[in-house]
Amino acid sequence: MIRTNNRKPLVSASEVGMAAFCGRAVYLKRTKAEVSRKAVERMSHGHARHEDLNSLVKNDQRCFVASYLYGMDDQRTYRLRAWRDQRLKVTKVGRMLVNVYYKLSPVLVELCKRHPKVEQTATLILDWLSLRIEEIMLRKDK
Amino acid sequence: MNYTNELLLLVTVIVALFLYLRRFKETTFGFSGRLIWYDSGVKIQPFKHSQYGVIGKPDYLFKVGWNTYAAVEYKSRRGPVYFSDIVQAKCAALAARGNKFNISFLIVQTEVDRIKVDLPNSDSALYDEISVWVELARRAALRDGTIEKTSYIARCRGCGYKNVCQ
Repeated sequence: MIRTNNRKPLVSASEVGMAAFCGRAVYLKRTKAEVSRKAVERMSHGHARHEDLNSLVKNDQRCFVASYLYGMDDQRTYRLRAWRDQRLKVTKVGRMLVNVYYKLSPVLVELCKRHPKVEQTATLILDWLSLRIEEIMLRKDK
Repeated sequence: MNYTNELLLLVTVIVALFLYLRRFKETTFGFSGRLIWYDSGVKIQPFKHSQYGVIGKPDYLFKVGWNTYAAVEYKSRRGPVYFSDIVQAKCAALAARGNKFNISFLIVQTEVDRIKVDLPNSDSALYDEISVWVELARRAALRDGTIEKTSYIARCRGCGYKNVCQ
């Protein structure tokens, strides 16, 4: 157990929140009592949602074009994000490309907003890219 | 040749560009700010306030002004913000204040609800608001088996420990 200098145990924010819900639950957590399966599933769902929101909040800062064209929760947006995180960000060149893209994306989004032709072209390119990624992923799964 | 004017112009342009790029933008949580920190998993060390013996990680920290920050606590449930969520967020904000982040307000958000909580300026006043729960959590951390379960039966329904509780 982590302790402070004056021999008081450190308590975490989640434990303090839990104490406001039920003090006994914190005691059971500290004594490593068994958690119900349903609660474990809920926690796992919560972690997944947190990760989704993390990418959403980060992308918000950089005006991701796919999020603008397809929406935040579209399957194609998820696919492109996965491609960015799993394929591009693992190489140095890929990371450079992602950084350059992040710098350009606010301008691209602005252009898409102003000129429907640019939006159509960008959608076509992203549709093609999304399909190619799906093909590659399917091939990899096989 | 004297390039003073050109140099001044260049410096002005660079400063203007710098300020433009660092301006506060509208966030996902309904206020303007710049994301400076987020909890990306268990490997991230929590903040610690040694004086009050609390540790914690808000989900997001945004800079919202000169030396002022906002903390965001996100809950993935499709339901209202509970009192315990606010207590947790206040405790995480207190821990972040221990690392010199002057948190001025909190946002607690679920999938369907959002609450803004203004925080007192002093750490001691913030601690006073949650001290009851910090002390209760501390008793639990010291394995005090006399701690009773909540008197609100409805809370037990959603509790992960209901099968092993009293």
